[in-house]
Amino acid sequence: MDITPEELVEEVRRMARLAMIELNKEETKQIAEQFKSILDQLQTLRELDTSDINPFPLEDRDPTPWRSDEVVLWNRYNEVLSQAPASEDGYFKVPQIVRDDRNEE
Amino acid sequence: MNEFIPVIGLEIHVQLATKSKMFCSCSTDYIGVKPNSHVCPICLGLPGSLPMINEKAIMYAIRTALAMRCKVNTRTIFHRKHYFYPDLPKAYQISQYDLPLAVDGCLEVSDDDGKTQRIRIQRLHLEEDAGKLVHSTASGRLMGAEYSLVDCNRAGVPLMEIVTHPDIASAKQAREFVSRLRQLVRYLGVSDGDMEAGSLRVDANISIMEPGCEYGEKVEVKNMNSLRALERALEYEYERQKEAKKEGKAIVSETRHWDDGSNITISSRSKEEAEDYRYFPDPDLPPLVVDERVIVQLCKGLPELPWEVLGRFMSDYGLSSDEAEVLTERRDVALLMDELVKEGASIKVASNWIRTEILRVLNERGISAEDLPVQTSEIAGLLLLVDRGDLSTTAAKEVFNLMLEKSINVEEAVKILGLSTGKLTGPELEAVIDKVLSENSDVVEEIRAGKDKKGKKIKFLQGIVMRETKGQADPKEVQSFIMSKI
Amino acid sequence: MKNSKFLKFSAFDLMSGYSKGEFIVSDVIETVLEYIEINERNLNALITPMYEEARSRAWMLDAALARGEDLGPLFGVPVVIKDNITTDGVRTTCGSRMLENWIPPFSAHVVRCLERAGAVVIGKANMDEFAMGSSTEYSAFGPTLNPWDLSKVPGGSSGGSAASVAAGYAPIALGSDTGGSIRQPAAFCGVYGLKPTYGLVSRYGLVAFASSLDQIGPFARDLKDLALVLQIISEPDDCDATCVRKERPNYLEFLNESSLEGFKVGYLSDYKSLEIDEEVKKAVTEALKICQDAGAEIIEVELPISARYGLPCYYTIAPAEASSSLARFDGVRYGFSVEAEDLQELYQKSRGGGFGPEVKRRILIGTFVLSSSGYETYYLQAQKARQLVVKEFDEVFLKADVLLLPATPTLPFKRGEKILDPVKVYMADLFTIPVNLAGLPGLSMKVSSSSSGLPVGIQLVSKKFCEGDILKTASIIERAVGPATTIMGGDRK
Repeated sequence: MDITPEELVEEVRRMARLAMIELNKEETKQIAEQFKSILDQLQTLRELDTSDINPFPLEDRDPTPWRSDEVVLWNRYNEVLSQAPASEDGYFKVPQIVRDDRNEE
Repeated sequence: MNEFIPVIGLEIHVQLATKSKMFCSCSTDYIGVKPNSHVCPICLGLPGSLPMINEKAIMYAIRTALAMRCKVNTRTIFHRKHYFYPDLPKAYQISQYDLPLAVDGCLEVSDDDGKTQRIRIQRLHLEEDAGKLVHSTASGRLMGAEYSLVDCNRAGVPLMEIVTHPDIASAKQAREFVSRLRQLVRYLGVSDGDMEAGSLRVDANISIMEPGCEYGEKVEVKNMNSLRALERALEYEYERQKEAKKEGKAIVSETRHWDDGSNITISSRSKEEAEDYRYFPDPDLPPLVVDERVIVQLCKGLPELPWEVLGRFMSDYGLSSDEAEVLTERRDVALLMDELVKEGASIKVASNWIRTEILRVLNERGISAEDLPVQTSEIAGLLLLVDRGDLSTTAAKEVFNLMLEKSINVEEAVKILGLSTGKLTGPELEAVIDKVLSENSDVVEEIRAGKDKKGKKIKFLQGIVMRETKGQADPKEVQSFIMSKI
Repeated sequence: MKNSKFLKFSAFDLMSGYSKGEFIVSDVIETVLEYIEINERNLNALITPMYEEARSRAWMLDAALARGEDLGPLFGVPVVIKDNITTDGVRTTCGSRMLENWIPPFSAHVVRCLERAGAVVIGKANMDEFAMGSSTEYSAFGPTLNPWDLSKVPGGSSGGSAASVAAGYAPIALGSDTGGSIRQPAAFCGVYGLKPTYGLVSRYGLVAFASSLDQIGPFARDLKDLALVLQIISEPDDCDATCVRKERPNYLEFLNESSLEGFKVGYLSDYKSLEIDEEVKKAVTEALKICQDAGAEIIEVELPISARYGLPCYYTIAPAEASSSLARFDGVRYGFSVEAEDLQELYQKSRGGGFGPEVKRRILIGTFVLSSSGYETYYLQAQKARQLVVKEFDEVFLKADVLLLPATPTLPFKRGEKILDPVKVYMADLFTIPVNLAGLPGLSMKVSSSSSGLPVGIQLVSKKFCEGDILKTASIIERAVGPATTIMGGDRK
């Protein structure tokens, strides 16, 4: 892969932002180095001629089964809430949303 | 010159009226429900849980697609759309991407001058709704909130997303389109289509273009919670872009929010990076395969669609388009019209009665026509009396109200009110008039003394007589009797 | 230790003892728990031993036994469950700090099947974090050691399950296999380990690593036990859309055949440049000979695409799906969470702190191959390559009924030996990965012991849903080499 070490570090940083994973400098550097050898290995797939291959053939797969529209009450939500890192009045609680990724109002 | 045309496309999310969620058996009720009480491991995205598709959601989506003459894809798949947000429990939304359930349909809207315009539907697909956030600010807004609270009751409610081509040429037309679509989903019974409650949500893409030029940069407008807001937001946005163009400013491709209080659109802070949703086929869900026969069945099972009913009311019933429009706005009402006519009510009387009395009652009570506590045949019977002139409109209203109040039939109501279902005329009427005149001899004297130049006093007496006869007398007959006696 | 014979009993031995009234469930469970308590100091095969739960369940079962109630097919049989399979009320960590304290409010389908059959879950097995690894060294709860040689790894990611069965904690364990995570540790620990056909066993309750590859399967020291557990856990499930509805055969019946007459066993004649341990090659040859003696026709096959491209294909698709499956661990509803000033910080610190280095690495690779910069070049190409692997196996199975392959290219390696070089570790899955890519069933079993006394295993692979063909072949081999054995603490070198 024709990519400079600096570009690789930047790519790893970008992926870490997308995946919402905090990495320290040392981790970033180490993963960037491994990224290179891993991606090089993955690149061998390019040798394959796949021009006429359908990556997601639908025809020969069993269809997804359907569920009938019936309500089943699940009453153990308190067990989930009680394990939540932060909750209030039956809600899960999150700290302030500064960067609005969903473009909410 | 300077003739800018708005180019508008809509993305509409419709919550489907299924009992259970898209991928789990939790109830879809989330309004006024204890937070996080209609949840389970699946819609909470607990580790180890897996989705199972709700058959009804598929049927509802296909019904809608067929009604809009879409092509239904018999083999489709679900994708995962990734982004982090507290209302999205799995941090991905199960949605459809490059292979939607249906494509290439259309919906017609009509202009003020009655011309119809065909708006093409690009695609229709199924996905799951997100949960709801409650922000800690007094206004409930995100801005300035110290923290936010997450309720997953809405997470996983089935959504049908409908995307139009940019065929819409005005804010008004956009409004008309959404109104038509809302009517359609209600006719089909697939959604309550309530914009205020959020079960029908509209995002609009708008750009402006000079004839013969390329499309301009498009702006996405969100947060319009009513038809009115939609129309005004798009009008505002059109003017804003036009002004910008005239001033030679570039239009920025961005997302803007409609602020219903200040009547403007506000730019959302632009993102640091372009979205990268990393769509890929959801490995938990094998292909969604819909049998051709099921599609044919659903097609046959479609109800008469709103525009078909409208056309029939005009051609068969001879109603004006305005009248027919009101009568076909709601399917329950249109069905009632048909039944009343079938039961012998005259078209004219039925049409008038529905548009005034019935709609008032339905709106006041917030019920549908099937929920009226009286039988359709009884309503038809009442209208027959009105039609024959046996009951005045005023008296009929009283009868109708009593019928509703006590869930009784026409005959009983008429009896309770002490009405006869014939007209009061001749000697009987004369007797009533004599009584009124003697009770109001002072007024009679004044009239005789020539103190009623404007005829107000005669009208006064006439009113008393009408009241005494419970409206069953002919006002003209009453007037001439009074005149002859004074 | 009194009653230590229980530790070597198969599930069928236990069942027979219970029904004859020779001992009761509590006798067995007490022995097992006492043994576990002592041995865990060395092995660390379990993240959560379930002493209390197992005892009370044993009492309950004994009461049922005394009442003369119907005994389920796994009545009173201790089982170990890999810790990425949910157990209602018992913490399920996935070997991760992220879920260190997470107590699921529901049990996996397979756990419910086992419990309905009367099994006693005695512990949650150690594993590589979120099943990513081949040595159980990537566990947040410390490594599991190989019971045959404590200086060696037990394989992974289901190393805790394999070690538990080999060491005699239980005759049966469940693991999960995404790229070899059952078969490789089974080979390293000298026990049977089966990855069923994709879609045979419900994944409901299995914390997903890569949903299109993951499959739950059993470990056992005895082939009959293995077939029995497969029968029980492969019950169709309406909660997993990828779990097939078709009827399952009676797997135990396949074990009665004594001949492979008319059966074709395929083998790789040429490993090309692949580095395969001589002892592994020897074991394969020995097993082939057994099949041939039983009447099978031995034929050469080639799998060039799987051999060269299986690994890169897998290491694209599996991380891609993992990056998606593991996105839900955001510190909001459950799991590891860090106090934060704002939402973004909550996400980044919780995920940065809750996941270990290998998991982070794979999430980042997966994010990259799905991102706009990697989708076409990597992800889509890998999906196409996967189709070629499927096709290659389809063609091979036109000629052969069963393939007999190495399970792993090497014998159990030393602890710490490969942890620093991910690409080298990935090689350990060379022979198992293509089987997952094609969704086929695969079994690994011990055939011999190496000169250093370590187990040497082989792998049998068949067509989809033809687990019966694998069991038939394996039973012929078992008859020749004997069942897998327990390696007790005292017997260890």
